[in-house]
Amino acid sequence: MEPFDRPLGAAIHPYMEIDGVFVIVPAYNEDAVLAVTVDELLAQNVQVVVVDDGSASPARNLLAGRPVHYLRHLINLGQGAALQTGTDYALRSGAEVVVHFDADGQHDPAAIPTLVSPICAGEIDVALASRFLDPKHARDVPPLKRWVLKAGVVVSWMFTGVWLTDTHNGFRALSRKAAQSMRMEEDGFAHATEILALMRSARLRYREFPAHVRYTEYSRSKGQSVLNSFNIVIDLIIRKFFP
Amino acid sequence: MTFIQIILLPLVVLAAVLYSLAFRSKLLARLMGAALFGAGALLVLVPDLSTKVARRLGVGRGVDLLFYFCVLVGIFAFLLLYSRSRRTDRRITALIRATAIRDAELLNRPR
Repeated sequence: MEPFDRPLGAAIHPYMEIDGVFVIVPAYNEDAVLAVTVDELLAQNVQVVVVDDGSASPARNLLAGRPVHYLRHLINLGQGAALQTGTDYALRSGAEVVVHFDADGQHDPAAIPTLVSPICAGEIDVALASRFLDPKHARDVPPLKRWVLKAGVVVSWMFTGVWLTDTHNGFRALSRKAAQSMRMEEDGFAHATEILALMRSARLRYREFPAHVRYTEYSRSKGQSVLNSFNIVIDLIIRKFFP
Repeated sequence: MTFIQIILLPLVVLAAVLYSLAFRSKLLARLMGAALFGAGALLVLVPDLSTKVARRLGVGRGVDLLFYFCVLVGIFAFLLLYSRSRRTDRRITALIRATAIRDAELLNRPR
């Protein structure tokens, strides 16, 4: 794996004239689907940063020969921590735009230009993907999950004052300035809400974009269980009082 | 000496000994310990004392007063431990993050 062998920003898409779009992919005990996700991302001509969050079997074994940036947490810290590590690394490497992307294939890499272009154009600082902006996409979401996510929107608003249509979508793009001003402390899944709160307090310009989520058997099993959502809320409440 | 006094007094003395062993070097801890265990021993030896103090403060029984006190101390101790635990988590995260970034940059340095 020799990341610097690849030319930065081979300009196929217009946004790549500003080079330095870094896509952070946190991975914990993913199997071969990680390689598929990474390949799809590499086809988008972005810098791919895989953060192995203490997987039992190092993720680099699955990524042989691919030109990715590979970071490994020696122990499992959580998705939020992995994203922050990847973001820090990307900023140090000169990233202009930082994209957060799930490893399990739920997110559609073809939507990256949609999120990144407005940031490169300077219109917004944070681009968020939403499953619920387009009714077509919303229909793909399993019913129970849909209700939990809608509840999540309300809970998120209660804690952050930000009203979105999809608050627990891990697909987002940040400008360099936005990434620098948001330091995530939450290690686990509560980071999604934390990002919104940080976004608001830093007065960043944000916008939601419709994004298609691909649910497969694999990603369904990997996704957060409904019960875990309660854990997240309790976590949020406790951490509100004891930061 | 009542039966409960025979049980509790040695326990208080034992706790004081263990406490002093743990905090051998800190004067403040020793003083606090002396005050705490002294009070403990006193309450065991003179049972009516807690009741008298409680009445002064408007609490029904000595036991109740002691209970309120212990609950407050317990809550405080919990909060302290919890925030310490969170601080430790943050330090671990910072450490692991530093090793991850350092290793990656070392691996990826221009050759």
